[in-house]
Amino acid sequence: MTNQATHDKLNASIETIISGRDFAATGDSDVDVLARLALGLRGLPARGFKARLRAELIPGLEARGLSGLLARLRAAVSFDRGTGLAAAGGGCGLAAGACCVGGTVVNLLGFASAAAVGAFIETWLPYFFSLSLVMMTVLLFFVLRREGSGHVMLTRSAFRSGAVAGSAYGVVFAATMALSMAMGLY
Amino acid sequence: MLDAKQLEAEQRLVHSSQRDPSRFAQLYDRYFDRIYSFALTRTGNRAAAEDVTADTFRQAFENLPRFQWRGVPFSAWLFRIAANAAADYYQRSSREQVVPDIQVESDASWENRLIEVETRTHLFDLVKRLPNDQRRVIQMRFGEELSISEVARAMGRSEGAVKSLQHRAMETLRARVGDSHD
Repeated sequence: MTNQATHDKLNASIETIISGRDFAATGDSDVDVLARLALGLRGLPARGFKARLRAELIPGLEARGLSGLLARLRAAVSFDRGTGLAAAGGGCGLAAGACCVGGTVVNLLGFASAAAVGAFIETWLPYFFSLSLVMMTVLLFFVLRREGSGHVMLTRSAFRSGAVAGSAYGVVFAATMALSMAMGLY
Repeated sequence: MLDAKQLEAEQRLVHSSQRDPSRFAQLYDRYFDRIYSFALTRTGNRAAAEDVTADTFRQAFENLPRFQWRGVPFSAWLFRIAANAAADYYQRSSREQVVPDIQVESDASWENRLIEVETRTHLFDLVKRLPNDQRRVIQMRFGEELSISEVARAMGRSEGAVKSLQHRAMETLRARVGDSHD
């Protein structure tokens, strides 16, 4: 039998296999062995499927430039983790007390008197505090959105995330207040 | 089967993936072929296998922060998710009357299924190691399900040349499957 005839026979068997039918033995044992092996190749992953799914799951790995950098940064400070949540909560606490910290620094550098800084803190503290509460709400919204669905899981996650971020918020905010009080500014 | 050292390395990788989700890519690359083969073996249908594979890795990625290491390979957890995703597929397909491309032996034992999954995974892996031209033909024929004439057009060759390449690719695979069994 010519090579071409053997290639045609194998191709006919493979055509049958790809179309989802069981191939019939050709009588050529060499071709039939290869055709049986080809049965295991049915359903071979489509080219690009693995890469597409990876890009969908972990976009930071595929993206380049600024969007890739942002995605990697988001991954690095993932709010799924307790440390990320604590850092974000602490950041919100720092935002709440920013006028206390900022006023203390300005006073220490000699740019403003204690009375002026005290008046500044008294006026602006409610605004900074409100801003920090908005930041905390946005933070918890994004954390819970990532946690997925399910009332029980969502509630549990809200308590857990709220406790971690809220504790860090309270500690940092209290520290900023204590600092300005220790300096006699508030 | 992982030995103690490999298990320890996998534990470290899982923990680092929990801290840095981008590290999950390593777990994904390590287990993609097996999970896909498992899904294909369970569903017998390429589109369904893709759905089950995607569902499995999506759920694994989302639940990774809550995953607790219990001293067994990470794949055990992935297979459990995949088995549930396949069961969900069965429920849906029984309502929608999906016809499998591949015969699914629903009464096959777990041992036989595992052997089938490992055999298929190994074969898919061998395809990746074929010489470039042979790999392209096999990929287009079985992965994209293109006809010989479509493959010939895509490669800029005659149909006879593509059939010859296909035959050589299958011969190479047979030789390598034989080698790995020796």
